[in-house]
Amino acid sequence: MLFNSFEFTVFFPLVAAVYFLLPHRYRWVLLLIASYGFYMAWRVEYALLLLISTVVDFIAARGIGRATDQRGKRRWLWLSIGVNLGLLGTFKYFDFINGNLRALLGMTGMDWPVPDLGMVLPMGISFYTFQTMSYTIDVYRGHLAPTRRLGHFALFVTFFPQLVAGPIERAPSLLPQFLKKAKLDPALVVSGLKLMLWGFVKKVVVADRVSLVVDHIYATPDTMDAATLILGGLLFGVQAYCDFSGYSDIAIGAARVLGIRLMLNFRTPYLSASIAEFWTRWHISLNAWFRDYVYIPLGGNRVTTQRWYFNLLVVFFISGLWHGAGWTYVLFGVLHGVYLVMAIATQPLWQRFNEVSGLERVPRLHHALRVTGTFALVTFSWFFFRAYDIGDTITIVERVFQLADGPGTIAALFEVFRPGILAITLTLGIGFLLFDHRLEDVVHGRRPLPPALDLAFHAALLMLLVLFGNYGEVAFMYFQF
Amino acid sequence: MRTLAIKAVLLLGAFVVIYLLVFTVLVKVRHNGIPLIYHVSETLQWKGGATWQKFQEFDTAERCDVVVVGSSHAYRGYDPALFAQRGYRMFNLGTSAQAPSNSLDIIREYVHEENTGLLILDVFETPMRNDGLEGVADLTQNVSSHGVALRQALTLRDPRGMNMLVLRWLMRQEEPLYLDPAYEGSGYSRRTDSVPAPINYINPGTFDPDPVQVKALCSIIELCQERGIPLVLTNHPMPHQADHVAHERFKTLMMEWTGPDGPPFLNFAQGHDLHDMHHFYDHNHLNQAGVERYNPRLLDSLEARGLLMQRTSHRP
Repeated sequence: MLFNSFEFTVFFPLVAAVYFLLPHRYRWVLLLIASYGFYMAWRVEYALLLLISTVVDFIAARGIGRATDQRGKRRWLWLSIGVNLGLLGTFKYFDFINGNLRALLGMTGMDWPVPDLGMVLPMGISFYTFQTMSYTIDVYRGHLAPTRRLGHFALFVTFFPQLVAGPIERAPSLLPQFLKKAKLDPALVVSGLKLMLWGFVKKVVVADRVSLVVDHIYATPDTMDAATLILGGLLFGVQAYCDFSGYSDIAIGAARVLGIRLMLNFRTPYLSASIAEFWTRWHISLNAWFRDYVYIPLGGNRVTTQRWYFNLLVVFFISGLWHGAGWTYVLFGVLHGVYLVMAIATQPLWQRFNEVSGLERVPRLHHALRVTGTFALVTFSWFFFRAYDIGDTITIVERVFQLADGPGTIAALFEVFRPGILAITLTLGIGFLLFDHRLEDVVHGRRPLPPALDLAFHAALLMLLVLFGNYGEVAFMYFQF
Repeated sequence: MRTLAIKAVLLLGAFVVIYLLVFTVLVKVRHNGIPLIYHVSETLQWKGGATWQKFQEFDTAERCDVVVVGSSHAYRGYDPALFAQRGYRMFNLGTSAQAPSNSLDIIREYVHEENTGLLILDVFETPMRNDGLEGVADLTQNVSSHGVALRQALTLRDPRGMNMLVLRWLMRQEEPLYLDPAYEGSGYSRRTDSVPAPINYINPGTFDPDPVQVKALCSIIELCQERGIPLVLTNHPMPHQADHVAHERFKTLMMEWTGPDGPPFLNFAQGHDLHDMHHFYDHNHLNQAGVERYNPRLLDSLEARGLLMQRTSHRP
């Protein structure tokens, strides 16, 4: 079920109403049934994967808890990791690896007999497998005791607001909340609903509108001039942010209505003054996962400089691959790894430059330049992320750097789209980039408005959603991950 | 709970005020004579055109020998004048991109045993694949019945339907923004131009019907049976280069959907002697020359099957 579907507008109020009418001890049952229903509304058979992941990790964690020696614990851990990565590998990466092997052997004139599986990617598999693995790893590390309640654990894996696109929660934070009695708190409900409204506006009004222009530009990049391709990169940055952070806001808001707090997943990432900071503001739950379960176990930064660089590149290689089974995603990840390595390697040079140029004495200008530079680097990386294939990526990068001409100009976009619609789309996209941080402050209560103004603000958001939303159940981008 | 309810009512009230205010401004302020709302929305259709004209003209109290429903194939492919030559009074209720889900509401509202001798539904692959949105957008602005407009808007199950209804209400006193110059009356729009240059047909070779349209088609068949309206399904001639593979699949499925006791399906899509350029004005719409070849054959077929009683002598 999509958040932006008619079914969800019936499903969620119904679940929330019954949730607060039920005695506390039955609420988890309702949420579990609702969560499976939410998932099975998409495809019934793939709920089996959720069940496998749940049961295996529950048993593995119990096994780790019972094991008397480290070797025994490790066996259970590997069972959990093996099954989850096995599911992920089979359903998400098999065809990608198989296709690459076929192409590789094809170059040597050999045939590769293994056919592709051609299976539909199970929605949210990258999210729930990572969430359940974090549980068994935490149990293995002794950070938490394994739960004895299979039902509660199943709900931890499937909790519908964050099941298919995060935030990727941790058991110590989420599991206890299912046990704690939640009272109907009007303030929490209102704040949750406001956050949901904000998420819907970001998704339906901004991301889905902007996506029409982005799709057009990326469909034939070889005909677009450099300015249009740059505009495409900028707009895709807006689309990706509004789509995914919109989903997170709806998820966090929906959970908040039910009295459950989920972690913040985005914190105005385009205001980052460095790539390192960007990754602490963009998809925070995923990056925290990679930090805790990949980067630190590899040694983090407490190793030699070369090994540190290696660790960063490995983490971002995996992060790129996590985003999609394609080389464009891998390149996107590696590019960010390279950005970070370059930032570390050139830090003394930058420090010297700042001293000599006197930029340090004008901190606001210095910060603005850093934010602009980081934004430019991130926008450049979106070319890799959004392009259909490596060939298109090369075309886009070449044309941007050559300042190429072409029939696909920004003016020509006004012939493809109705001028009024395009003007609104560009205004929303660019306006969002400029004012998002102020709006986020209002929505998250960091800058409260007087009650009358707050009412008008949210009524205006609702008006935008109804009047200017792009409807037709456009799926969230991150569902494919 | 009381606090929540008060806040919800206040928000709803404020929303209604702001929404109506913005909507009214967008309808009242015009650019090049066209309300601004049409410049900033993809889904809202203009008030006016052939759909508006035909529903103003159609009188449910007057009996027709034949009523035609369907998409642009219908209102450009079935000429009331040619039917009149054989002595039949025909009215064409076909509208732009009308899919079975749109036709169903039109039939419910306008077509009865008393005013219709025979109902022809022109159906082919495209309307059966269609989600019905374009038809809804057209009908909500231009159909004369508020009931049809409301039911059509509700089928969308999202705010677009509400926007369409509000626009209909705000435009209720306004004159239509344009009239179809090709409109001939009795619901028919004539095209006399031909395909100017050979068309490169892209035939995907697949046909995947929309389940909503399949259900609507079956509902139309049931409704006609309930109301005692004779129904014929037709498919007007298609260019020779059209997608034969998809059409074969369509034909097979049509047999399943209509069943052995269902209405006859008169399929003229293939096996005709029409020219892909001379008798069509684009990749699949008949022009007047094509209509003048097709309609007599259809009438012959209907008369031969006893679906229409021969009124006048004619030369085939």
